[in-house]
Amino acid sequence: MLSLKPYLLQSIAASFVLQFISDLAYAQYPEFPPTPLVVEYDVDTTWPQRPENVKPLGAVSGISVDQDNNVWVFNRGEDQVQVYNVDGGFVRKWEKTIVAEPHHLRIDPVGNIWLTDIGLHVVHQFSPDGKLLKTLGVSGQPGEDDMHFNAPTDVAVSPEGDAFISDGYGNRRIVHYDKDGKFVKTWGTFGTQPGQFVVPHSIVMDAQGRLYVADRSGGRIQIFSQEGKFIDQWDQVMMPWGLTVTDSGDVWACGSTPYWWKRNGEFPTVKDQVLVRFGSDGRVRQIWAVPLGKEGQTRPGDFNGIHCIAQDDYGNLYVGDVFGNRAQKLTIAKDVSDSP
Amino acid sequence: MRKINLIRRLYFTIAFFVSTLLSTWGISVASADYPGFETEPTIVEYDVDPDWPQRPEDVSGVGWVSGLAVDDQDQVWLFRKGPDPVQVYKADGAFVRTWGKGKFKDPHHLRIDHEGNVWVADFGLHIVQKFTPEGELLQTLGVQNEPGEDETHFNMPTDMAIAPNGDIFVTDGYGNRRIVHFDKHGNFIKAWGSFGSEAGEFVLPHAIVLGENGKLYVADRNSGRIQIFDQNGKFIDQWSQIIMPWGLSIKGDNLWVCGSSPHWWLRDGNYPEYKDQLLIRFGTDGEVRQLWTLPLGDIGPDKNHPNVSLLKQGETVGVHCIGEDSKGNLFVGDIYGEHALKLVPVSTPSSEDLQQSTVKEPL
Repeated sequence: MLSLKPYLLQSIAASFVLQFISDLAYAQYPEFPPTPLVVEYDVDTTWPQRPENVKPLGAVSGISVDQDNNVWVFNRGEDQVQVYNVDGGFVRKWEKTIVAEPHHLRIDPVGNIWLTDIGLHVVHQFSPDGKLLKTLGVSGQPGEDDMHFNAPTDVAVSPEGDAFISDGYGNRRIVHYDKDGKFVKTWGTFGTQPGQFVVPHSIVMDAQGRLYVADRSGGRIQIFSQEGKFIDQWDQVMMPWGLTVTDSGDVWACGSTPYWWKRNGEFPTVKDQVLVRFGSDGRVRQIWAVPLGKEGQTRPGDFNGIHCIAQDDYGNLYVGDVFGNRAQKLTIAKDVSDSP
Repeated sequence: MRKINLIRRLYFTIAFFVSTLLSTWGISVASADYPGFETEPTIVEYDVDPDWPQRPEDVSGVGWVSGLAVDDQDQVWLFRKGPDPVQVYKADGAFVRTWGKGKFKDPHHLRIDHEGNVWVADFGLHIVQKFTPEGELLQTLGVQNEPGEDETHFNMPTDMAIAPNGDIFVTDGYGNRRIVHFDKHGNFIKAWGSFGSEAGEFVLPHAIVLGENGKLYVADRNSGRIQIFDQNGKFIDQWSQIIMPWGLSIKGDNLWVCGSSPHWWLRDGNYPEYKDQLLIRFGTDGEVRQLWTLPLGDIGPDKNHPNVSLLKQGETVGVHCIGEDSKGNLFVGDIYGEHALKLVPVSTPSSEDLQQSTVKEPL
């Protein structure tokens, strides 16, 4: 023991010297920004607060935020439409609607609710309290003409009340109706050329009246005028499952990073879970990745199959999960924890 | 993953039965009219070449691969913190040469200049050195083992960009927070930058490249941005919130960046360092042209003592450097995974992929 002591002292002294040198080198500046440039999001595990008499969410396929910052959740459970406020408080529900298989949900400029039904091939307009106002397509009848859809996925409604429907899993086209439900025109066929679609899975309109179509399985977002003229496409960035337009005119897209929908004879599962914010010029302004959940597990903060996204006036994001049977709220993290 | 596939198959099967039921009711489900996948893909997939590189038995495969560059003959240069620091392989994997044994302390990035000479940054020795391709030392910037912040000293330099006229721009570095500019003879010209997250400041200048457009692209890793400067040091633009950039590679008007999707470098007292493994191709004006993810591997609880045997083929843990050859193959160096990978672009589906299938889409 005694004979070890000098070595011990030596090594202690050496470690002090080393510490001093490394302090010289490293401690001059912190390794993290004084003001973070990156926006982090945290999951609010207290959102939503579902009352006991409201049925658990099934696959959440549609989500939208209305003018009062209430979040409309459209799901394949028994209470298909559930509405919560930003704090998670329950606002209202619609019990099982006439919809057989929910897909996206949209709120039009006058506050009415549009539901797409891929099972019965129709798109409905409801008042906020659930009264049916209008139906496009013929229930239970798939088709590809002026009055039939085949598994329509989503609808974008213009300030004038015109409806643009992404149609869909069966057909590969956009169909345009005027506010009275009269067929105006249609465009699009199967394919990967501009103006063609592999699966038109979601559609939104920005304040300039441009249409953004998420061609999910083609891994691109295509931009059109309301006349159906192809303007641009953003490809190789992600597989877009859901879209929403922010007040500032950016487009949030949710889904996975790019991959082939079919590869070596297999249909691979989603690679990961990402949210990408595009400027209206197509520039990527923000990427936020959330953890891909393990099958059969629904850990808070994980996502199993992001399908739809919405943003409220405070910058919070709401994301619907079609494999994880839930919706989650993402809040912007305060920068306090980034200081030493 | 297999479990997920099974569940999905089950889902497809159920959907198939439902559609069969529906058709017996006289309702046709036309989903099968068109394939649910691209027959002429716009997406480029990348496959890992399992046979690259073919490392001879007497060359060490140990150590972080922190630097990587592809020369004009499509030879891939690796710089690693191991017994054989510089290793050169052809694009097809054939071993070319190794050198540098015992010469380096903390290898970081490696670059090839316009004359084919090799530049390396060693942050442990606080120097940047120029070698012939065969490993003969030609020039040293900074003073070995002397950290400092003046015209002749660096503090842990990370990378260097060499202009066609021979001028050198050094990212300096883990210790300092600046770019230092020298002429081809190694005479100090100027330096710019200080600590911070304002334009022209750096939190950690981790990599630098010079475009054919004359602009310098600096990976300010820990603040999650790429800053663009002219050669006078004038700030031009920054791209933030897209990637934590660890390594850069530029060719024509394409800038490949490797790293992680954005996150705070310090969060709740922890340094998470990476979330995932991302490769992004930017246009030199900042548009994102392509994004590709590599699966994040598991190397056990301590990344400084990695159990690389846990890694599966194609996984990486700390993509640190990237290069592209003339055929569009990508090469990435992984520090914590202690390996380099060749990624081969695939743009044509196999006949198997083009067959119509009866399975239904996940909806």
